[in-house]
Amino acid sequence: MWSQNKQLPYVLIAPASLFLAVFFLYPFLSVITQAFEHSSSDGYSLKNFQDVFSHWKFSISLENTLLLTAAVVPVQLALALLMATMVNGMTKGRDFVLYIWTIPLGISDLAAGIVWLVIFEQTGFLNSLMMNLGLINQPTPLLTYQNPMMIFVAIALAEIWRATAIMLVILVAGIGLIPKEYYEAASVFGASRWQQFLRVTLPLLRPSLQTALILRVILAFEVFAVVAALGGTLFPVLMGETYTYQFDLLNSGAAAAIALVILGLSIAFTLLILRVLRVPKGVSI
Amino acid sequence: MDQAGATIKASRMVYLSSIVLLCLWILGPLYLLAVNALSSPKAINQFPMSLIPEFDLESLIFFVKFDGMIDALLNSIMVAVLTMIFSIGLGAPAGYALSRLDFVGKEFFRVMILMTRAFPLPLLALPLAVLFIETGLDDTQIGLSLIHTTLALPFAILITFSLFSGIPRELEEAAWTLGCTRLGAFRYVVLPLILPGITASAIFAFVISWNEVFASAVLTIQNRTLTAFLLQNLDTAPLHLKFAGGFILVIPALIFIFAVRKYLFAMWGISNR
Amino acid sequence: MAAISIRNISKRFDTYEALTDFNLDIHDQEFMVLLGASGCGKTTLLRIIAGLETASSGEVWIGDRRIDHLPAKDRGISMVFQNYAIFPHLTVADNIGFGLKMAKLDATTITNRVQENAELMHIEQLLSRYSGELSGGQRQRVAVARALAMEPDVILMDEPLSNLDALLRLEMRAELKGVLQRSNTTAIYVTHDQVEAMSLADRVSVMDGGKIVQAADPMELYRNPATHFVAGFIGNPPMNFIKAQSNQPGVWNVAGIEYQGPTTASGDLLCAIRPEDVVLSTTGLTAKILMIEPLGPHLLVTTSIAETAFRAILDLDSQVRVGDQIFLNPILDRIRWFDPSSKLVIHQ
Repeated sequence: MWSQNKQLPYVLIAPASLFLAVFFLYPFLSVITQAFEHSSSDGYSLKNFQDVFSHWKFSISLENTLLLTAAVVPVQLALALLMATMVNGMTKGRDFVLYIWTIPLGISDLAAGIVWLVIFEQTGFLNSLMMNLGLINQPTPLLTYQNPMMIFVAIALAEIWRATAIMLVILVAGIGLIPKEYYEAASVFGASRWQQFLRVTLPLLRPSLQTALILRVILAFEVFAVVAALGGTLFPVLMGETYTYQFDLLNSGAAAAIALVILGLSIAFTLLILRVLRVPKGVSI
Repeated sequence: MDQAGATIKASRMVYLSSIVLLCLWILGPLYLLAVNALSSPKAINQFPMSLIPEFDLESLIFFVKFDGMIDALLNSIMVAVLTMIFSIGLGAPAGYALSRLDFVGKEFFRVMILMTRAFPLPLLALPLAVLFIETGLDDTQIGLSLIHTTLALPFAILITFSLFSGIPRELEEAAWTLGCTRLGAFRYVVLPLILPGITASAIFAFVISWNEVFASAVLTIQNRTLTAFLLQNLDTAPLHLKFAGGFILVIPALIFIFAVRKYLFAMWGISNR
Repeated sequence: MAAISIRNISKRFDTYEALTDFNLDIHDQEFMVLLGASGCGKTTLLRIIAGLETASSGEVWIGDRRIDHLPAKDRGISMVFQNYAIFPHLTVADNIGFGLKMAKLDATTITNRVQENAELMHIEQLLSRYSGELSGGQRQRVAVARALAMEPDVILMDEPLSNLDALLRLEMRAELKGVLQRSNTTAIYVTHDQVEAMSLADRVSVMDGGKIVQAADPMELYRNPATHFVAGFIGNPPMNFIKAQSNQPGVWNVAGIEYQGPTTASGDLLCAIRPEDVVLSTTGLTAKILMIEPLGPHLLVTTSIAETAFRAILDLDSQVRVGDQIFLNPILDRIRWFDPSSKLVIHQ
């Protein structure tokens, strides 16, 4: 066809493909090989992993990361579902509310950490509030090693505040695709609002729920700057350890090993979510 | 009011107040950050904190004057601008090809793009740091923007793909019958229609770069970006510096998200499918 | 001279053949309608002529120029699309003038031609509006004005009226016919609506399965369909078919009544009679009334003749009721005969 140059598509995707080959594939493979190379011996070994796993900080950071994810993601899912459903029923003011609720999308995780620091800091707003309510007489340091629970709560709150919008946007887009007729039919057949939510909304939202959960869980395993801002070294997480190994200890091999652990966790959970929330063939809106 | 009416009114009240509460939940902490940023260092360290800002610019001035801060700001901006240009420049043609053309390997390419999101991308900074040292890109704006582009490129491709797909093929065909070449049809018909969307995704690429922390911290030393600067000074910096920094980080994001709010759902909703 | 010659055009897609060895000659300034059901290949053929698809083999000529290897913009054609394809970011005036701007005509010529064609399609008051502010019918007029403003040799139209409501379709049909008659353009019009085809065309090409079944002027198609397919496609309600047997040459038994028929055939034939070609009478085919639909100007009566469904159009004041046994007398020179296996018409 005169207008269809056989090579045109390849010319168009070549720059992006080349770029990703260099800046994604290469480092990806590089991280994998680096994880298995150790300065003490030639060839490939599991020594990096041994070093990393035997370090006392590893099990703590793994535990912390998983705990944080387990605490935060379900709450965010429920909250995002609630917000998406609420917004779906709005007509006036919908744009305004949606804008406010998606503001956190544009906020760096570092900034989010700092924002909540303002509240939890020793001379911060939480203390001020408790003082004004007469609960305490003087500023109590909240984010110290004496209060691991407090640190966890602060980080969890900051994460919920920051990252719910990510799931919200995906769910709102998904809910918007469900034709109103399905709800009308359900109510004609006697379903209450809650039943409509359970029987119409949730099932038809499966693909979006899948996407939202996978994305959020992967991002949760990468949590870094929020923790750094609020907990510092008091709450080790996997990504933070990677940073420390690479930047402070200059141990690329160990950093790569932890990176692979994070990757492994991401893949495992992605497959799990895909399996649990799989959409039967032929089911579509 | 009868029973049904009262129940409806009550549930409506609950509905509305929940919405208001959730809005306050989002805006509250931001307001508190603003209060701190707009207060003097003394007021920040005083206890208890007041909810009203003094509108004292001392903290902000201190922040701006802090050694290396202006440079960090400029670095962040430059890196973000470069990321914007690269990701749109590389992503838009690919998005067009995916949307309009059929070719062998199309599905494969598309799946590959989606899969890049499964990988913790900031970790790419580790091996690239070595590569950059060897090629002299280490600690440069271009170097960092290339990593940020890797982060933003899949978004850019998927967004432009959905933008182009939203333009009916018939419009291009009509242009061809009216005397346009393929390029002419693109220039006179397609481009004007997708320009707002492309602008939004460019802004989105900017924000992704502006906010990124890990890679920036790992890769920049002399030419630190704002996020790297703040991260590395978290332990040592005084409170008012951190708060002012956080405030500066947040403001552009607020403006940008407002500017692209129409496209947010196209971008995240569709590009995640 | 804008006579179009389509020679041996074939088009193969991955899984099927859309057009098979297609040949058609269209006269200069003729209004040719391509008529057929979805999937018959009519739109594919139009797009091949336009240059939006490439044929797998064959040639297309306009006048003495071979055009099938030329890009759309160099073929001297103009097209009206089914969904109008009005550029949303341009005003109506800029839409109509788009092709003229691409041809780098001077501003005065463009303004004049835009005005002319807008007036032709009665949209001169909409020139500064955008497509989002227009109704479907108005957009359709803009699409036609835009195509006509190019003063093309050939204008191609792909089901331009199918997205309009019934009343608007009627009006636009009449307008289109008038406008195109007065212009010097050859027109090819694609539709699945046989009423449109009959009303607009100089000639109609009935298509099925990528081939021409019959190409003739509307009345010829109506009176003398060449195949069973055409007989059933043209006319609403379609032609009735009753099985007929012959024991003597030339005499055919149709549901118990004998009629003069083809002498060259033997065995079984299908006897075809149009619903409007029967008269309520005291003799003729015995019909039991199953349903009566008063359609306004006449009655559409569905009957059963020899256990075959048979529709008849009767006068509004006919004294008939459901369940009645009536006699329908066909107009003899309107009866047609078809071979049941080859589906072709048999001449008497």
